[in-house]
Amino acid sequence: MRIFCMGFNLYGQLNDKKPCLEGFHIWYDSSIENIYLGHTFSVAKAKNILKIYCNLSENPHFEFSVNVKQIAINEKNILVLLTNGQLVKISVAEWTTKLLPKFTEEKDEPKLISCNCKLNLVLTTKGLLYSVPEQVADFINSNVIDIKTGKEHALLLDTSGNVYTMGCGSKGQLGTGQLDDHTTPELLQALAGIKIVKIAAGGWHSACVSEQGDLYLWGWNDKGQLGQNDWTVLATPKAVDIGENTEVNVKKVACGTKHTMVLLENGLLYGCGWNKYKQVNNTDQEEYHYFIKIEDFPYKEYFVDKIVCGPWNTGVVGKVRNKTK
Amino acid sequence: MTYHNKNEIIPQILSFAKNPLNIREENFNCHFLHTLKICLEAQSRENLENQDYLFQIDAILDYIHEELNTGHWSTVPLTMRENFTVSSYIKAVLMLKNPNELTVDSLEHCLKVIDLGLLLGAPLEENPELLMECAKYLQKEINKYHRDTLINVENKTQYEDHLHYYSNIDAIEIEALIIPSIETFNNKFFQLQIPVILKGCMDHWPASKKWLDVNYLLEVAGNRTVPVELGSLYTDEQWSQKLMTLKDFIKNHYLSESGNTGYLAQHNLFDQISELREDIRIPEYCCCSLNFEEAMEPDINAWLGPKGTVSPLHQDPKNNVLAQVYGTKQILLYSPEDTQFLYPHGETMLSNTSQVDPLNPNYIKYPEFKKATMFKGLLKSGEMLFIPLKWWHHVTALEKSFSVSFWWQ
Repeated sequence: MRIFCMGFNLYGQLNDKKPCLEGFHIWYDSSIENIYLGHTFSVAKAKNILKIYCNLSENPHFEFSVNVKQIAINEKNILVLLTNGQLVKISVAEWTTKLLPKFTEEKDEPKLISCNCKLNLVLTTKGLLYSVPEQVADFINSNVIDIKTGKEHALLLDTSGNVYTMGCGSKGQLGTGQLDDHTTPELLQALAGIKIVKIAAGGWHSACVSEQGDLYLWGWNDKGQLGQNDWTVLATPKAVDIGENTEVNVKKVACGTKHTMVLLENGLLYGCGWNKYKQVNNTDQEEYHYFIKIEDFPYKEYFVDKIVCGPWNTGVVGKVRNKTK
Repeated sequence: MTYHNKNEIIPQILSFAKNPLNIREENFNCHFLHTLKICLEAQSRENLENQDYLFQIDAILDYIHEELNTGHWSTVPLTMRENFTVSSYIKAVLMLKNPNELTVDSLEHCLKVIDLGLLLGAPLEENPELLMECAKYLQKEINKYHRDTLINVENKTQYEDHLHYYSNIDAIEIEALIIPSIETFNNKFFQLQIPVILKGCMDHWPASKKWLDVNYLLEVAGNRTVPVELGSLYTDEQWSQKLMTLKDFIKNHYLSESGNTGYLAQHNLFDQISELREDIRIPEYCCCSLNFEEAMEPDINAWLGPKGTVSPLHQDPKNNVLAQVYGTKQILLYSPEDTQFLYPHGETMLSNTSQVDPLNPNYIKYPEFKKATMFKGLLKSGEMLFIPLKWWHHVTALEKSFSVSFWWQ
């Protein structure tokens, strides 16, 4: 797998020495299946192994007896969901592991995890939601397929394309039209009737892509992370145009704390928001208030598999294009 | 412009740290903590060849800034804000020690860093005056190089044009007294929680004369960063807050007639800029207490803006003396007993704000509003208004205006 990385790298989390990567740097490791970028470290996953990249530690790695299904990271911990349903917590300060005691019901087990400094969310196979170890009241939905957490809010997506939001809403990130907090996920009324297929959460903003390829953004816009200039706080989802061509469909989206990266169906990469650490584009412009085409991704040789944003950096997972085609 | 005092300024700034600086380790990411310790050590060194420290301390400040924005302000750990103070100071020192030539621009930049530390950080126990002293000193050094003198605006009275409109407002006039005794104030107004205008009580404030000259404000604080509200009403969706220097605020919003309303509102300017604190006096009336306990030190806020700023109808959970240093404000008040007629917003953050515009009420949407009793008053230069706690108030500046509010419990 090739990961094209740019942005904040003070702790070597993008597998390079320079503290800030200006323009894409290629990180090639055929064994890596997935990568998670944090503020001060990154985690590469390969089957039952997790490798940590952090130049303040001796690149610790963890091997589990069964495969790793999913991981979630925050400033202090790495939460690991194993294929046998067990949850392991790795402390970032000591790089020690701890098996979490079972908190779910008898015949139930964790299916999806997502965490940040305020929320540690676990969805079970029965569709119950836990803010570990407590159960979140009044919510059950076994069709949830994705959870994304911002600094203090969360988005949930189910197979029908419904989006639910919960957590802190003080910067409009819940999309309810108000700035109130919600302790339980609530259906995002503004997007009801639109089938959503992708969700992403920035620090205090939220993103969704519909089946039709429309991009919706809302929440905090202090650095232009919503790709528009009119609001500092937008509490209701708004469809955003990418570049000049309004016809182009959006395929994927990822968010850093204050930036947003999207992949279009035509293979082009766009970004907006905070660029102090060159997390959006290799220029000295500190903020992009509208989506800008990222020119230095080698579109011709690679196609994008997925975008992974860390808080202040961006990784684009690419595969070599099949040349015979 | 090159700054020539580099050899003096660094020891000066270092001398403001009277005691060794401490980093608070609780709640802090362990890797950023490691970096912060390196930066703290670096700023004390004589020679700094390595430019990377500035990048590192910047990352620390950005990390803390994110933490300060997470959760409600009141729940942010104090240690985070203390570390923001320490980091702001370290950044300022590293900037000054930068081996490149020091310019007046970089001093201004340095002062911005210090001010952000003052605005968002918390004072350090071991060095409580640290950033205040740095800022005061940097402002003086900048003044030596270029002092912006603006043509002074005459604060000529303009509110007379408004008198006809005012006289037609159907409301009870707020009572006014000339220098009442504390006893009279306490027995007849404070204990009964009745509003009153207090005349002649602030003639002894140095501010009453000094602040009329914007050049004085520019000299004392022109390069200081302050928060400014943009947009006419804080309830508007387009409303926002921006940090800018007092100089830019005065030039672009206070003196300019561009219609781009900016309001330096509800800002604790006096904890930030000690010279201005010396120009005001805490009104003795703020010693009154409802529950026989000693009154707390009041929260003091500055309100500086052009003609036309409006604070929509809202209530505060504290007793308030609003002191009008200059300019005239139109005040509309409603008793908390009338809250049921005032249609507060449903949302938590705006639940202290009425949805009704009392000067142009929509009786179809808000029929009960007719039952509310309005009080009105014109608060002129040198007058103070006592707003009892939870009394609803709507405030319009009829002229360029500088007010100081004292909130106490």
